[in-house]
Amino acid sequence: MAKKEPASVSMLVLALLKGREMYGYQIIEELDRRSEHVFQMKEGTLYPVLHGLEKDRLVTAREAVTDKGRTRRYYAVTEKGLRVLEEKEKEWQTFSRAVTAILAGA
Amino acid sequence: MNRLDWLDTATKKIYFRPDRKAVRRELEAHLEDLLEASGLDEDAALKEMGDPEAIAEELGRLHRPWLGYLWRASQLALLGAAVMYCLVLAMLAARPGYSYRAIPGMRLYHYLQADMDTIDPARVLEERVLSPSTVLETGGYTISLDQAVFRRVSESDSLDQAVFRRVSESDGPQWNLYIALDITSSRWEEPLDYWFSLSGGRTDAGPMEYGFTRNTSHWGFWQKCGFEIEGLPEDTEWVELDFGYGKLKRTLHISLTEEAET
Repeated sequence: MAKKEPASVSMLVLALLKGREMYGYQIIEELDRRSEHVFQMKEGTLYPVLHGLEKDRLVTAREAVTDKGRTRRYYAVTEKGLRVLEEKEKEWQTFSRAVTAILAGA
Repeated sequence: MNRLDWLDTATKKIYFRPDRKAVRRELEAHLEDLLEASGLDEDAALKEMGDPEAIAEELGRLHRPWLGYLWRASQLALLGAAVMYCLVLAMLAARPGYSYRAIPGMRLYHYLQADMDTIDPARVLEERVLSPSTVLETGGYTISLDQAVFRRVSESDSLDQAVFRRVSESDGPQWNLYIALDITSSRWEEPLDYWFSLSGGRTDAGPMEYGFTRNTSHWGFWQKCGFEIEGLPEDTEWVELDFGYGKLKRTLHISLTEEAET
């Protein structure tokens, strides 16, 4: 995934968080697994995106300490986040339909 | 580059300390998860996580310091205000009769002083400041004698006063008694407004009822009650203020023979 696509990355992250709350490492793992290794996100991309989403109140975070003493920040999508995600999904579908149509006509 | 350097570098542009520490903890936990799951050594894992300088730029842009400091400053201001409020309340609780005078804007007004001040000091021939030590507790109220002054006042020479004096029976210098009570209640906004009566006398003679004027003001838990009794015989040794009647009657005894040490 190209690094300078924060809008798409945040859409993917929001989509992942839709079902359940996750911490950063989990998000990277899950993205890798669900995209069948197409999206291998770097931490350097993920955390700025997560913190940006949090700042915009599209996600909320809570800290929890594991039994190994690791402090994990769990992110969950907010109502506002869900609305934004819905819009982005629509945009993406329009875009993707248009590309498909053009490719099919080629 | 070891893990500490990496974490320091990646978070170096977050200037608000609590934020920086939180992000650092998060990244460190991530690194540990990665080390554990991937079996990579630390160097490889750090490389995997990315360029700390680039991360620092991005994170620094997101975590603007002034917002954090503003938030912290407003928290401190709030805390300060709360502490001040508690201090004021504690002071009031400790010395209910006195401290409120120090608080500007509080509506309690010392009527007694006002009553006493209406009299020209030149007319005060003699004054006994009595030692207030009496406290009475009744029905959730604590009534304490704040101040009692027994003074001999000469006849006024102003026309108004002269006419008034003619109408009332008093003639010539007379003894007036001023009493200020502090009343604190265990409930908010419940002024003590009982029926009052006042009697006075000497140990070797029976009590006499006296009329009085009463002024009262109250604020919250506190109430100030001022009594003015005019024309009391000079040899009066005590007065008693009765609150309420029947079984509920409580009496505050005030000795007029114990003068305050000055």
